[in-house]
Amino acid sequence: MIFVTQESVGGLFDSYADMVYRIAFNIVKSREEAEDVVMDTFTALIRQDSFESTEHAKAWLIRTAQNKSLNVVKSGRVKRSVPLDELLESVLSSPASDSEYELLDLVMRLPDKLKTTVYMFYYEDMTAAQIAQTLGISENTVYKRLERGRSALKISLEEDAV
Amino acid sequence: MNKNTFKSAYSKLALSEESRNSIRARLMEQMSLESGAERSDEDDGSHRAQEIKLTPKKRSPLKTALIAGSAAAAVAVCAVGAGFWLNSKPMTQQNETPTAEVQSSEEATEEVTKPETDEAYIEDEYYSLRCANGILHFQKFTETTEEYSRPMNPVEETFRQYLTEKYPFIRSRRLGMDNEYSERIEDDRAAIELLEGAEAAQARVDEMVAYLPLGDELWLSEGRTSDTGIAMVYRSENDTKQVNFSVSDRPDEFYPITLPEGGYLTPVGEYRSSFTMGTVTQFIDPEMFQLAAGSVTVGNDEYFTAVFAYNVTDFGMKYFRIDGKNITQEQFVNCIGTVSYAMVKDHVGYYKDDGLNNYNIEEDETENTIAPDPEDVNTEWGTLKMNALANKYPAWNGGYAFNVQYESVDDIPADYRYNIADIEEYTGIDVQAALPERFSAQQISYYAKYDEIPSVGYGGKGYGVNGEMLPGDDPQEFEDSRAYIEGVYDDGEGETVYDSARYITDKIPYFNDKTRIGAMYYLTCTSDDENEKLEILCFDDWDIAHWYIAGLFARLPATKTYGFAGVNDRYLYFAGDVLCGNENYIAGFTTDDGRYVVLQTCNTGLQTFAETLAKLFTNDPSPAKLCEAEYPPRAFALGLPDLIYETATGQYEAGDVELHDYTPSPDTVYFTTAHEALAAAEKLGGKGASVLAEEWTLIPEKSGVTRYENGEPAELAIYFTNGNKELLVGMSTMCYMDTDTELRMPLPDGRKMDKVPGYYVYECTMFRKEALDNMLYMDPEMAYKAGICGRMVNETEYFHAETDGTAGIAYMIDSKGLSAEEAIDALAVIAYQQENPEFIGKYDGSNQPFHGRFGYALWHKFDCGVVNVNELSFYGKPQFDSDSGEQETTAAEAQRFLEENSITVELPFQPETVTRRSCATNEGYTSEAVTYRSGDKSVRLNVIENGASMYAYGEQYGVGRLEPDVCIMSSYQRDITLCHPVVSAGTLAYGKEICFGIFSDSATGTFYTVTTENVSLEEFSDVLGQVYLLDRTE
Repeated sequence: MIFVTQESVGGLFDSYADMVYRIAFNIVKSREEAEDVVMDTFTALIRQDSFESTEHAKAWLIRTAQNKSLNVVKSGRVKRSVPLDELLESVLSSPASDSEYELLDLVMRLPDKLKTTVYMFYYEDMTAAQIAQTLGISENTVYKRLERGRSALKISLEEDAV
Repeated sequence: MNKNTFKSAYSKLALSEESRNSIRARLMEQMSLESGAERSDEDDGSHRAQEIKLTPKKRSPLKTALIAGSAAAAVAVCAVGAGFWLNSKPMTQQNETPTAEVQSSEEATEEVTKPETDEAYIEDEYYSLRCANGILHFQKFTETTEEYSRPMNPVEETFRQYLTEKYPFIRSRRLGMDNEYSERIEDDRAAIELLEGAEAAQARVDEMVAYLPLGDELWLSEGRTSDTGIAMVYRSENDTKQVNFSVSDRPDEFYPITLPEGGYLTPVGEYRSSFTMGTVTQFIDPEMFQLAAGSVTVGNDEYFTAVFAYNVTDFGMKYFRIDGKNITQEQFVNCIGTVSYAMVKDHVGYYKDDGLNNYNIEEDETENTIAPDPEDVNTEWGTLKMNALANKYPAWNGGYAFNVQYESVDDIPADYRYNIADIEEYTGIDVQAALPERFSAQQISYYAKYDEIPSVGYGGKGYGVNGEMLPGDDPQEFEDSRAYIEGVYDDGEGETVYDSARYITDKIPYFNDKTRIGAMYYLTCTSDDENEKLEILCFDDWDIAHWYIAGLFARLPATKTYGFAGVNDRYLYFAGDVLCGNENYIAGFTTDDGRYVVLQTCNTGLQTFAETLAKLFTNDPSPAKLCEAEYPPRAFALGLPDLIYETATGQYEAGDVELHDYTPSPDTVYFTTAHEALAAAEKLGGKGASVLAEEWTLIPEKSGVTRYENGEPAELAIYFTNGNKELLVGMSTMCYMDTDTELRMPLPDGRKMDKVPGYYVYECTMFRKEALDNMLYMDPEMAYKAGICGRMVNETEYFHAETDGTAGIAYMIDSKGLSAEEAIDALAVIAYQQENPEFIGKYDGSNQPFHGRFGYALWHKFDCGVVNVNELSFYGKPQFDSDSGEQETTAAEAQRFLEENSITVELPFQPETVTRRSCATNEGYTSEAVTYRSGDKSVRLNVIENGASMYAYGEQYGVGRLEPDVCIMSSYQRDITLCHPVVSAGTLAYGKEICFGIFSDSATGTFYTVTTENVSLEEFSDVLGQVYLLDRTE
């Protein structure tokens, strides 16, 4: 059991701030807005009482980050036609290879509903069942979204496509 | 591109150090505020006295009147900054037992000894309250003077911060109002009033006040601590009401409200109330704690007391006491619910009897939602006591309390696999024999946790089973364990990278000397037609199982079922309900060796569930049927994603189902003839109903008008039959989500089916007819928002679909016996008002005219860089204020135009025709284009001045405009020296390969576009490259 204290929040922030940021940036495609979502998400976290475990807190963070990001998009605060290349340049913590850059570029263009699922599956190594539980969607929907995401990204997990 | 690339790329998307530090600092500051601890490190408290204020720093208007009425209460609180501080001075003027209060802070405790009395006050009539996880019974209390000690040290730290740090297990550490919370209320009020007005602000204030069990009626006025306990005192303005809350490591340490005779209340006899502890997921024999609560009246004062104790993980045994004076019974009960595991509400989870799923629900829609009591359900193997099953919002999920996670994946070496036989070995139950014939195992998962190994939860994070080696670990074995986590397996012939780390197994040497302290096998099966799901969980640790239990028993402790399948010496727990529109059942029991077995099914029907449960419970593949039983018909929500996603007419994804009681509006005016019905429908919503009537039989007496506007039908529905199929189509001037008068085709149980509004409300897109005609598929303005949901009842499919009426008229259909595709087509027919029913068929999937083409595999490297193909969308026509249209011109004139713009290109074909076109807007946008054509091939070069003044980086194409999808600026050409971003995009429309490229000269703002038809990507890239390279760097 993890109780929400300054110490535990600090630890969760250190562990998952980037994760929340990635999920947010995926959707809002704005560094500033994504940082706001990080703040909002963790502010919501400190108003919780406790979590069963670190992973429970993580799952909670994922869902909350996604919902808050979608709220930002729905609010219209994020404008279309943001030059993503400039944005990516500004947010990458270290130089990316062409293929890495390309992949980020492509993921950003996926429909919002697919991005978090793709991210959770490919980056966080969550299973379809776990993603379904975390996002509150059915496993079939997860598979469908992964299929669509995979198709769009032309990602082959077993071998390089290019 | 593989998973490693994905991870590598994403790992570089991270908060900057500056942002991280800034957010972290703000968060910690916010945390301090939330905890009421804003004191800086330098603040040693020495200047606290100087900052003591006699009144709260900010007052809620709600509170102002109260504070103004009593200076005495005002001195009970003091504010330092935004945090709440307790007065370090004794506040004898408010205390009913001044002898205890005047002790100096150095005197940690004071022993109070008085002669015991047997006199008991006459208690109120006993009160009982059924809670979500137990029953609260008031019981007899009597006065005692038995010795006890009080926490006596005034709190040195901010009180809430102190509580947070010392007693984090207390669910909420705020019973009534305090200054810090009052300030938060005022801050919220101010902010919301500014943004949304006074009414919304007041609503927020009311909500925040209502959050407190004592509202803003009682304020925190005193806090006391000792080495072993803590107490807080809330008082009302005029001191007539008071609540004391104590928690201590000792049973004899508390801070009671004393009675007039000097004693305090203590329960008589055993504690009568009991509640479950821990997670609400655990429905099999959960741990309980006992509580005594009651009230007595002495003179004009009513006293409440609750005492309870339990062992808190990592904190040890804790003893709690709540005393109340002249508060309401509800306030007292809510205080119990706030500081204990007792859940003072009807049920855990979120219960709705209409099958509403849990995807978006975060709370019961009405506070008074009542889950039903357990009921008897007859099966051929005996009667089951069916508890209500509640939705489980993800917040109710447990965490991943395991460090081994295996899920069956193809190609895993046999030595590392788990199978059904392992489950039998683990439980002694022949699980394979229990599976119904039509089910097959889809996945066997295995989870385990080991002593001293931290929970990993998800594998593949690069942390290994452990972040670091444990003492005594073999380095090689440890490294191997990391390899398994990473998803790499060396079979001796080289490393194999698997697509997931779902095979983290403890069948590796690393675990040989480790102690397993928990395990779970999780078998997932589906029926042959994939409509039914059956899962069996066998485990010995609820911490592992939490996540995978599909629903919550609505009330705990759950009612047991005895004697099922003839087993008389054991019992089981059973629950069932409609969740997510699906028929769900869960049952669980313990095995002889104390392991748990849980069976949970979705849409199998009760008979299959009961039979499987009987086999598992008896461990007999053929348990004897004990009686006859009738079962309710199977009914479940249809998961449309499995059936259909994209059709020619739109993109559909099944919504979640909710079921509502339905009674046709008594004001419905039914038609008398088909002609009358079709005439009204055509007038309101077009010819769609008439089109359907060519193939369907209209039943006028089941069709009618449900709403009129200005004497004209504004909402009506037409009922059709066709053999065994039934179809109701509706049209309305209102969005169907906003109307409740509509005529519907109810399900067999009399209820109507609706789609649960999703995050995007309707979720689906249905192209308008004009969009189909003009290929404007991607233009959101050219689409309805649509929703569809379905339900199978007694093997018959029912669908409900509707549009949002963005074109002025909303449409809906209810169908029986139609497939999903037929239902969608029916909706399309009435929405498109198409005279020719063959219209829909024209747009079958193979002929879908407009496909965005993009993706990693679609790129072409040309002389100056790489064209990376983005998705190209087709939107509405750009609006020009002047447009010459395409005018035929000569090659020489076109050449002259290009030279004026420093463009020289070598076309991939010999042009047969050349045209010029000039367009402009009053905002300064000008477009000068030249188009070369040869047969079905074309190249258009466009020079756009002030292009940014247009609302999109688009290029007119046909009746619409081409526009790359959102976020299209790809600078993949960074290996060249040019700095202008190039946007390129491709698509395929009616067999034409369309490519579009655009870049701008940052110095002049001029945009250059290249649009081609039916030339290859390579040829397009060459043209784009030639235009792009023309001295743009100079």
